Amino acid sequence: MSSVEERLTTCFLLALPGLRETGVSQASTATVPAWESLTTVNLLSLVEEEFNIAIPAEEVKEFVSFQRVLSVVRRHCDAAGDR
Amino acid sequence: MKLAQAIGLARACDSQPGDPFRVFLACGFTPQHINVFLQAHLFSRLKNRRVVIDNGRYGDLAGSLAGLREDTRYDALIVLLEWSDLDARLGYRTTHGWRPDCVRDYPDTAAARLVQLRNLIEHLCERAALYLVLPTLPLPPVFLAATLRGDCLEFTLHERLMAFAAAASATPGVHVVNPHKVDALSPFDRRLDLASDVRAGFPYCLEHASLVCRLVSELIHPAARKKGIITDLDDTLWRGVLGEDGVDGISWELSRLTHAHALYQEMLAALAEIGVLVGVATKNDADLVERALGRQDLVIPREAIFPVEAGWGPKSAAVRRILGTWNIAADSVVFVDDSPLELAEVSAALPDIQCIRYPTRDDRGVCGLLQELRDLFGKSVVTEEDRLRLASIRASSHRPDSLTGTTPEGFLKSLGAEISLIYDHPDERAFELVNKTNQFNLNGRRLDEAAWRALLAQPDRFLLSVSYRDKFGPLGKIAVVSGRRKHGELLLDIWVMSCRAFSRRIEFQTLASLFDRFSVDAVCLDAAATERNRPFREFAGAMTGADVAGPTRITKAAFRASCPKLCAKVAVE
Repeated sequence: MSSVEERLTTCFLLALPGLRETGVSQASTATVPAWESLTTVNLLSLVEEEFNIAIPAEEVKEFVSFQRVLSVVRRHCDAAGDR
Repeated sequence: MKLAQAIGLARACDSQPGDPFRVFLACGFTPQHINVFLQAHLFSRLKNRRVVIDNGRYGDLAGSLAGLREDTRYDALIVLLEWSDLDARLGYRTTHGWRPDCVRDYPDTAAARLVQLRNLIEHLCERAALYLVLPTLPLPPVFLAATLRGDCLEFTLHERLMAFAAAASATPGVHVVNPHKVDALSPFDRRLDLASDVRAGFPYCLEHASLVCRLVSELIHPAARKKGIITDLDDTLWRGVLGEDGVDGISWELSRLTHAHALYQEMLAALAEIGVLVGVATKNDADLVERALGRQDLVIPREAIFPVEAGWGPKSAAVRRILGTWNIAADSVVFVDDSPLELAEVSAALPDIQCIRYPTRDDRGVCGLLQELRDLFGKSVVTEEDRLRLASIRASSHRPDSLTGTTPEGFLKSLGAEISLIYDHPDERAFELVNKTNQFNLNGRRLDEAAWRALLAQPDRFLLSVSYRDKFGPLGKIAVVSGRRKHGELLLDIWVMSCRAFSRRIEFQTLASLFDRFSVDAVCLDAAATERNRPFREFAGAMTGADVAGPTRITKAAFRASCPKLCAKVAVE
């Protein structure tokens, strides 16, 4: 199975079609103009589907960069025992 | 379908060239994921045709539909109704409606909104095919009683909704997704995603969203309906082995716990009455089979079964003979047998036939089989031709060979044939013929309801329906031709004729009539070769002297030179 980072990269590439794979790890709302509120909604659904987790509303504010989303996902995967 | 997969398909869809299939999706919630799933499912069903989806306004379903009143751009209109569209207080995004004083008027406010929607739908379905999904989400616990106890107001609310659904489903051009189908496939407690609803105004779990979109897509572009069913007898049409148990030993009775076979017979009888051909292929002694099928308590009438192939050769050979008698292709037929070995033998010999195992001694499995048969053969409108089909096939099989003892002309003259040509009277049968005819078919093109409507709406287009009868009885409406007159020539892009009408020169009579009616010197055929339309190509090729595998022009002179003597009496309506 792919690593959490690789799987999250796929989610980002689906939610942000203009993004290049090499730029995903640096992606953030500040660096990717196309990242708007609907992108976050898509990204959230893709992440929940891919990792079979439910992100609580208070953690959605973390969906502003790849690295912060990765932290959220890792935390949930750790809690679920699925690395 | 996963959201990730749907996004991938939606991207592929967006990059397709060509004329798109245009959809207007009206729903009161944020349509984001629904758009993606719908685009992906439709793209798959429409065989990679580009799909473009437009949306209405958030929270204003009725307003979105009202805004479409004069819009004719769309191939399909989809209405995803939810409880909050009937009354916003029935959604989870408001908090002013669960108290006793509010609850009382829910049925009336919903009824008023449903009347408004019904008026809009009745108007819009004249412009484009309309697909309606009734609320699929659970109602919030707004009613006063404990949720175990049915509440009068809740029942009344459902009653209003069902009255609306009944009226909508009876309206031509409106197709309602059966809520029971949704219930069977989507667990009730896994439909609402409250977090997503609160966060983004999208109330569906992804799995549920995908399912709803899949069902709507299947309704928009349904699979080709099967035409015939060939069934085994022993441990299939009845319980028992005829050769061992005898005519009186086989059963389909409640008292002998073999009632599932009676239900199967009832389904076959019902299918026969809507025009499905029912034949029998059995390894049995023919005389014994006739005696068994002659039992007075047989649920399916004996005359509804034709032909019966009883013998000891391979089942596939019997199936081939039945296909020959029906003159239809294997992929239009379902073969049902309890024996995996027989199914495998038939499947190996005729890979296109759909083989289904009859689940003997498994009543739950029989329930599934009955549902499957209804899905494979179901139709919402039964035409006169459906009732005539079996009788005409039976008459054809008993008819003397046209070339024995007389000339073809002599034989055709003896038929006393009458052909009726009816212009510009589109109906369900014409649409059905275009979409089910394989052999005498100009180009094999299939049209969904949207394309059919668009075609008929072209101002300069004609549609000719051809009916036939002779001394052996009526065949009903058996051919459809459509096209336009342009620059002194006739351009035909639809021409289909049922295989039951072959060898009667109806196609020549039709073409002769077209030359006369439109006063043209040439007919241009938008022809194409398909795997099965050799009969059409041979007909047209006789006039051109070459295989007709592409656009072809036939002059009046060429037609006259190859047209045989025509004997039928023709009436134009």
